[in-house]
Amino acid sequence: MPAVAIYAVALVVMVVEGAILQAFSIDQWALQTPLVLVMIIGLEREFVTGALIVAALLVPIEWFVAGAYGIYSAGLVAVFVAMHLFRPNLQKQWGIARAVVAGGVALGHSLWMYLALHWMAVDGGHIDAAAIGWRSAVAAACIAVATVLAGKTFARFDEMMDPHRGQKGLQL
Amino acid sequence: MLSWIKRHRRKIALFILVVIPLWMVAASDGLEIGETSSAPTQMTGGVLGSSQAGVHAALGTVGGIWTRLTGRTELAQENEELRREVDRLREEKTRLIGVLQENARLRELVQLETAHPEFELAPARVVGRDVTPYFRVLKIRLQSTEELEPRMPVVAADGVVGQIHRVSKGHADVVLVADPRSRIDAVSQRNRALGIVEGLGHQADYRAKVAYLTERDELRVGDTMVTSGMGGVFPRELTIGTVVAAQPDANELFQEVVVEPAVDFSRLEEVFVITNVN
Repeated sequence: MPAVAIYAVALVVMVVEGAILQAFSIDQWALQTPLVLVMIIGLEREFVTGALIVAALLVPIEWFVAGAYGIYSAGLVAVFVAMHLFRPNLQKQWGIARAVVAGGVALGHSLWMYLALHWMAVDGGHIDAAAIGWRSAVAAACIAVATVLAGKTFARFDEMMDPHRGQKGLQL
Repeated sequence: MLSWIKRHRRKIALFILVVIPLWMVAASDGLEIGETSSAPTQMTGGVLGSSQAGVHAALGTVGGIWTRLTGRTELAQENEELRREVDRLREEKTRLIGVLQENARLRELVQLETAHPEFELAPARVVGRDVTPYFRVLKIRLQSTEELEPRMPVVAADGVVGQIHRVSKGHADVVLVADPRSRIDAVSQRNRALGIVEGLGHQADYRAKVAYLTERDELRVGDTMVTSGMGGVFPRELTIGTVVAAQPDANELFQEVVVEPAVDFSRLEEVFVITNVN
């Protein structure tokens, strides 16, 4: 899939997600779509292309997150880099190994959010640890499953749009 | 030059990737509510806000069409006309229920306007939510041409909703009472005990706690917390919520008080922004 298409799809997914959460009054939402998207881009695209897509997504993502500006994005950049570090040692297909990495990285991102928000709190202790850690294990599991499912779909689309992607050799 | 860029493209990409969040952090006010957004953020917010409002409206339309379509598949040939009539009436009934519910909500909002004639209120529709578990934010679309500003109070018929955080063209982010960044100067209606209502940021509920209570101030379960008017953001006597738990802390010096907000944020569709207090 071309980079522009990935960017557009990512934006559409997040726009629709926010609207659905409101339309159906969904309160407890542990699935972090921006995190899932960055993990997929990190594992499915080479560094430069992936980095540029993620860089272009950061400002919109901050709008969707509506948090302390830049903190969530900084975590996502670390996630992207981590994915590229894991990538050579991971299986090519979307399977258990990638799910485990996705879950672990999601937990790492939660820990980063807790530390960053705790550090930024004016009087310390203002940010409740329970707020960040609440069900983070369950959330990580959900994110792992969602990443594998979305990653499989992404790979399928990639295959449909460019069947020779990743193949090396002479082509007529 | 081109060859230099090609040779160092990985480093350049990484540099761009790292600089953007650093710029965001440097440009932000940390955990303070009410940021002045930069031009790119405002532009992004305007475009994405309109798209989200469009999707939100489309979801309602699709829901209606789906109901009609599924109804039609069950039509028997011989009773087509009658069933169509029934379908039409059902649809009308559903629409009427929706209109009645909206009417009831709007009546509550009108009551709010009547109860507080000193407020200049700008109506807004809730069109989206934040997409992570860390913050409690609603995306609103303004239904008038009023100019919004960060930190403006947002209320509903039942009480305080939160404060405006960021503003983009016709849209704004509202940080809810339950958001961990939210701090509202409050007072107990029963004994005028002062405190600050801080959001707990729990994903499971919308609760907040009352901090900075003095040793002498004792709150009880059932006490109503209202805005104190101090802090300059919220006008006085707006209902924040009810105390649902009050117990001594570990040192038995102060109380740990939990407040259930008066507004049901999960079902919130229309809100009012207080743009001015006369």
